[in-house]
Amino acid sequence: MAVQMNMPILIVDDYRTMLRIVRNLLSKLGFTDIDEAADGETALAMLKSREYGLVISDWNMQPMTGFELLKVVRADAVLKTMPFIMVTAESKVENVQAARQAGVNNYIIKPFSAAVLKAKLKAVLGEF
Amino acid sequence: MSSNEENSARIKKLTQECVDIVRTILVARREMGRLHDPELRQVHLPRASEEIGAILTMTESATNDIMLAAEDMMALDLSEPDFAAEQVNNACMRIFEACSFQDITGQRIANVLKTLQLVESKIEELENAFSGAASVEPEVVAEKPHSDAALLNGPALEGEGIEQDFVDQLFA
Repeated sequence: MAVQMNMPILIVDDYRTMLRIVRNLLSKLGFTDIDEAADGETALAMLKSREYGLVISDWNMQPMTGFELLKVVRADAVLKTMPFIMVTAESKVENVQAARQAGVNNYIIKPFSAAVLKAKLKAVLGEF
Repeated sequence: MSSNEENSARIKKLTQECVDIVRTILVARREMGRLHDPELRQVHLPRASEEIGAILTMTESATNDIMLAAEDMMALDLSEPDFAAEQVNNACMRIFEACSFQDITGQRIANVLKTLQLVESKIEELENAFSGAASVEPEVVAEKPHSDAALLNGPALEGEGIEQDFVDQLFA
C-alpha cells in the first residue's frame, strides 16, 4: 500500500532546533502533516488524542524519555502497532539493543543526513 | 606560685594546645581522605575535557558545512532557474543537516556541567572541612542508576559509539 503523504507524523525532541530540522526534512520529502512535542509525556497525550501514522522520537528527554514513551506505546492496546523511529545521540550497542527489544521499528544516530532519514522512513513505511 | 610551678603549668598548657592542634590536623586529614574521589580525576575530568574537544570539532565542522553550502549558492549560475532552484534546495538541506550540531553539543555541554557541579560540591566539602566544621555531611552514596537511566549517556566520543551502518545491520 502506498504511503499516505498526508498522514499525521509526530516528532518528539526537547531541542527545538532538532524539531525544526526533522520537520523541514520531512516536508522536503513530501510529508504535509507534522506535529511536534518536546517530551515523552506531551507526546503520549498527543498520541492518545489523534491518530498518527508515525512517531519519530529522541531518547533523552524529561519528563518521560523516548525509550519510556516507546515502552508505553508498545504496551498500549490501541497504540501498540504505531511505527516508531528513534532518532538519538545515544549510540551505544546496549541502547540500540534495548530499543529493539522494546519494539522500535528503526534507529537513527544523530547527527544524521536527509538521505539516512529517507532510507529509514522507507524501511518502516514502505516506498514513497 | 613558684617559678617551677609556673613553668610546669605553661608546659602543660602548651602540650595541651599541641595535642589539640594534632587532633585538628588528624580530623582534617581524615575528612580530606574521605573527600578523595579518584573517579573525579580519572573519569569525570578527562571525560569533560574530551567532551569540550568534541564540541570544538563539531562546531567547526558544522560551520564549515554551512559556509560551503552558502558558497555553493553564491556561485550558482542563475541563467538556468530550475537547476539553480534545485541546487538552492539541496544546499538548504545541507544547512539543516549541519545545524543538528546544536543538539549534540547541547548534550555534551550538559555532561560538562554535571562534572563542574561535582567539582563544586567537592570544593564546598573541602571548605567545610577546613573551616573546622568537622561536620562534613556523610558522603552520599550514589544511587545505583535505574536500568533505563543507565542507558542515558548522551553523545558518544570518537571510538566509543557505533556507526549507523552497524545499526542498519541490526535492523536489516
